[in-house]
Parts: sequence; structure tokens; C-alpha cells
Amino acid sequence: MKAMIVASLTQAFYSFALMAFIAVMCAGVIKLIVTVLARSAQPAQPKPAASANPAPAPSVASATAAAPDVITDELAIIIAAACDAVIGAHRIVYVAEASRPANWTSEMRARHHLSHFPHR
Amino acid sequence: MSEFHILDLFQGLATLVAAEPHILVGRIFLMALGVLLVYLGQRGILEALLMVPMGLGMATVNAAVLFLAHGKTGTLFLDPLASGTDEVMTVLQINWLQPIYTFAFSNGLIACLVFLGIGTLLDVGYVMQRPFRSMFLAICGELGTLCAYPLGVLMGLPANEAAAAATIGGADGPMVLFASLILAPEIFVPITVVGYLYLGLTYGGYPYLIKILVPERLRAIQMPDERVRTITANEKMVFAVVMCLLLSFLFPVAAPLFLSLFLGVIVRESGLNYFYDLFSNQLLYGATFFLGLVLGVLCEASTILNPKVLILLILGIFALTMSAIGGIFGGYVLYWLSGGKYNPVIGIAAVSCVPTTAKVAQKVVSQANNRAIILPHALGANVSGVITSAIFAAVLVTLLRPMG
Repeated sequence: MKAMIVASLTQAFYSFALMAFIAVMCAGVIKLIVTVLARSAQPAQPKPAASANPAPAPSVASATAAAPDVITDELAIIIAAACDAVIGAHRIVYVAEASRPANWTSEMRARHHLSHFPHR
Repeated sequence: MSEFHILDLFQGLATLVAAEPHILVGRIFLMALGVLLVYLGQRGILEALLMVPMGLGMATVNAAVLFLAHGKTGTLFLDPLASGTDEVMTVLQINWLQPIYTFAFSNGLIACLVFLGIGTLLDVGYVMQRPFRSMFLAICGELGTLCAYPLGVLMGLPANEAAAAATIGGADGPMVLFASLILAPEIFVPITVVGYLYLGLTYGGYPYLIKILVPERLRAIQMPDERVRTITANEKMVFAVVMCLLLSFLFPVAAPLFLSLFLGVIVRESGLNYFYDLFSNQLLYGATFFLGLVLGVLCEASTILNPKVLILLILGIFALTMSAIGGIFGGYVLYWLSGGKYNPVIGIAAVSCVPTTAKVAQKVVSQANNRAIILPHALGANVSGVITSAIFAAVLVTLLRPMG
């Protein structure tokens, strides 16, 4: 019995030491990955000639980046004003998302076709 | 008309009356325990997602014992002792949960599915920002496994069973299931049930342990602001690929778990939203449901009543307590090394019960100082804890796996 306990103690400490060594090694690998990728992700230094005439920054942010999911009251007013400016005095009675197809088969078919683009 | 016994009509009662006294008491106790687990799960004291199916399964299977052919007793749920192709094929056509048990449980598939789901919940960026600190805490958080293994041998368990029970110290349910299925298939049911029961208790029990071990002054320490670079999704994917291959090279026996975990991480970071939605919702919760249900159904009195259960109960609580003490000790070491700027409570999150222990750490710290935010640090230790638990379990499985 005593021999078994000594053996189990030895095995436990050996396993723990091995686990700790591998865990530290993993931490080292993680650090290496982060360092290498951070270095490769740094933008290249701009050439002096290019810095003389820097390209003007875009003054308007991308419309798609700021597109909200919900149509707020403010947005409805803006859409109404834009329509009024473009097409004249019309009464806009309802602003909403285009309705989804009610038929589930067409939705599934569309999803099937779109499955080639998995990054929704 | 032949003599009619009312008990012949109600076989659950008949088998109870005909059972040996210890089985009779065991069945009644397990039915009561099952109902208690449902109640505690529903009240939020134990993990409801696991305890509700497990508890009802446990109670029902002990009520629904009936007489089978050749005077044997059993249930129509599953037979974990079925062996040989013919017997397994027979029970597959009779017992309704046997297909889940045979094709998903006893080969570790369900543990891998849970790990896949857990992988989609892990943000490895926290580990990548502070790898050495997180890993140091996680190594300290394995103290329970280190201490429980020789203690199990001292209490009379064979080395493989003691090691399987000791993995409860890693506080990682699927890992306990996986390790005990390989190391101690004869007692994997009680080991896994005890493991999950105690893991459910960590949310309620660990705050008291923290308050005993860490004075309020130290619990209130606010972590200093540090400028850490944001880790991109591509970097996290590179990390997952490298770690998966590296750990699988070292421990092929645990490669299914490594693949499942890191595949989950990659799915999360890759932006494959169809997969992400599937794995983090339906698959994770479906696997958790069947894990709980099958575990509960496996708790039939004649299967689970084993003199080793008491030893497992002691080992389980000892392992989890020692892991928590180890993690907090690691937190104290970092507190000392940082000149008193590191909150030692973060150490408890190294016990890899994702994300429970990280939430426990933040909750206890917030009670002492509601402006102190330690969650990013705690999650780093938490995710590292999953990795070190997997490594420790893989080492033990590799060293002690019964051959042949």
C-alpha cells in the first residue's frame, strides 16, 4: 500500500510538472504568435514622396457602415425630405422594410442559393 | 381464475418490494434526490440546464424498474452493461435512450459536442493578451487534481479510477466524462454524476471560500489600466490552429477534445454565422440536454450503488476545494509580484468552470468595490484553465490508460 501511495505521489507530481511545462510552452507559443502577427500587421512606412501630397481624407463616411437596422422617426423624416427633394411633393404614407416572402419554400430556396456566401 | 396479485399489475412497485433492502432504500433515495435536483435546478441553486433533465431522469428511471425475461429486473430506458454485438443490437431495438448512449455517450461524442459548443463561447483574445499570467494561474488551479489523485489511491481506489476522479479538480464537466470513460469505464457514471453535481455547486459555494481566503481590502483592489493591443479574429484563428495541432501531436488520445474545442473557437472567429448559430445554440444546448438526461437515467440504483460512491463524493469536493485554494494562491503570488496591484480573487477563475468562476470572481469583487472590473483578466485565466485541464487530463490518460 505504501509503495502504491509513493508511486501515485510520484506520478501526480510528474504529471503536474509535465502539465505545467506544456502550459508554459503554450503561453510562449501564444506570445510568439501575437508578437509575429502584430509585427506583420504593422502598416508599411510611407515613402517620403508620397507624404508630400497626401490623399484627401474622405469627408463622408460610408453609408453602409452606418446603416441602422431599424428605421427611426428621424430616418423616416430624412427619407421623406430626400424623396420630396428628388420627386417633388408626394405624400409618403408608409416607410418600412420590404416584406419578406411569406412562402417558406421560396425563403429556403433563397437561403440555399445564398449558401455559397456563408459570411452573412 | 388463477390467483391475482395487485403488484403484478404495477411492476414498479412489485420490483421495489421484491428488491434487496439496500436496492429498495437506494431507489427511494435516488427518486427523492432526483426530485430535489429538479427543484434546486429550477430555483437556480444548481445549474438548471443540466439538473432538470438529470433529476427527472434519475427519479423516473428508479420508479420505472420492471421485470424482464429470465426473472431479471431492468428498465426500458437503457442498459449500460450490455456487451457483445448481439446483446447491444437487441437492446438498441428495445430501449429508447440506448441509441443515444451507444452512439453518442459511451464513445465520448456528446462530450466533444459540448466542447465544440464551449469553444464557440470562448474568447481566446483574453489569454492572448496576457498568456503567461493566465497560464500561471491556470497551473495553480490544477492543485485539486494534483492532490486528489494520491488521496484517491490512499482511500483504496486503483490508480486509474483515482486519476479519473481527480480530474473533477479541473472543474470541466466534459473533460471529467471523457477522462473517466477512458480511465475508469466501470465507474464513469458515479464519477461524472458527482463531478457535475459539484460543478453545479461552485456558483453558490466559491464566493464563501473567496471571502474566507481573501480579506475585503484585497477583494476591492481595482486592476490598473493597461494598454493591451486588440487581438484580431485572424490572430485568434492562428492561435487555435497552432494549439490544436501542437496539443494533438503531444496527446493523440485527447485529440478529439482538442479538435472540438479549437474548432469551436475557429467557427466563432471565422464569421461563419450559420455554423456559429448552430454550435452555440442548438448543438450545445441539445448535447447538454441529452448529457443531463442520459446521466440521470444511468443513475438506476442497481447500477450506481457502489461502495466507491462515498469515496468519490469526498474526492470530488476535496479536489474542487483544493483547486480553488490553488487558484487563489496563484492570485496572491501575482499580487505580491505586482507590488499589491493585482487582485488575488482573479485566481479563482483559473478553476476552469467556464464562465461560472469568472462571473463568481467579478461578482465577489463588485460586492467589495463596485467600480472594480476584473472580468477580462478573469476570463483569460478561465480560458487558460480549460487548456490546462485538457493538458492535465491528457497526461493522466496517456500515463494510466488501461492497454489492450
